[in-house]
Amino acid sequence: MDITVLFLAIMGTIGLVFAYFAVTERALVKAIIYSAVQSMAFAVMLYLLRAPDIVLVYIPVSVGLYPAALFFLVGKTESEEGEP
Amino acid sequence: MNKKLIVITSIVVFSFILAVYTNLTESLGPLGLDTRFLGKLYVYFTNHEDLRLSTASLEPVTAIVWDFRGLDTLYETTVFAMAIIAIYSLFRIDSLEEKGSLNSSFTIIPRLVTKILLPINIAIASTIAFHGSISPGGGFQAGSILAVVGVLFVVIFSYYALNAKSINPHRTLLFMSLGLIAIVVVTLIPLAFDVFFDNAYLIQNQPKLDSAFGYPKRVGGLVFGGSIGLFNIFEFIAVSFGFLTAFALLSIPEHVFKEKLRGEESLE
Repeated sequence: MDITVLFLAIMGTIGLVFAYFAVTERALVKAIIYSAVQSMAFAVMLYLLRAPDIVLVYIPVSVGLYPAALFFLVGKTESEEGEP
Repeated sequence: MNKKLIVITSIVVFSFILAVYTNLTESLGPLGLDTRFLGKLYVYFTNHEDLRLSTASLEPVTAIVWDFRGLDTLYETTVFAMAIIAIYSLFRIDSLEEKGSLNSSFTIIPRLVTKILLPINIAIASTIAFHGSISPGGGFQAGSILAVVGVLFVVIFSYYALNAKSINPHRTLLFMSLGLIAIVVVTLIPLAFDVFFDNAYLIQNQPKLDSAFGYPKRVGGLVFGGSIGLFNIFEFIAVSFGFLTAFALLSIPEHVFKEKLRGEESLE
């Protein structure tokens, strides 16, 4: 198996698992952290797919700015998701 | 917990089957080894020796973003600026009188790390912006990297510390607007050339067959990329200050807004 495809598969799986955690987690701060981990896995995938321009913008936005914006919003609202 | 385990196992098994299947049938092809015809054309014309066919840049992605599909990027920048202006109008607030200091509630470790990261981050962001026409990167990438350290500063030292350094949303929005105006000026200069001298087109970078207008390819012996270099620098300014405006406004304590909004209601 091509090593690039193998890494892509592993990172894709990690991303999917953490996306599932982020969706099902009730504690919003934890969900944001899971989402950031999922973004890291996707960033590695983008790098493997030879898109360094996208990686350079994806890492600061998805791991820095987007969780920061959500943390500010969670701080202003509730840290726990209510019952559906 | 049992349900979670089932879902995760399903995801892993499904991914494994999909990976093995795509590998056996070679449906993804050899990744990155074959270049499509359109890709070859972009690479060929990005740095053509004849300037009339070239974008004056060495980096095909930046050339596509700011030259081949330059108008798209202009509209994207407009959308970004409108979003920031919308946030600014929602969080309308006068300059805060309370002055904070660099004494935050965090321990010395995050404060020191932030202070060390600040110059490093500025250097990295500037490099990515100024080398945008040579290596991967560009204005938006550099701007978002610089914004991260701004956010870190706001989180660690609070909004008031930012205010004490004379950095407030009004001022950052002003710098963002200056960056945007500079982008518009670079776009419109060829039209001014068209009016007063020779034929030229909107957002033109290098000379064309029927137009002599062109931004310089090299500055001081280094490849600058004509208008691409200018766009990268001004986009860097606009994006970094735009993000900083949004996060500075988001970090203002809620009670300040509540008082402000209550005041507006009583006026009505």
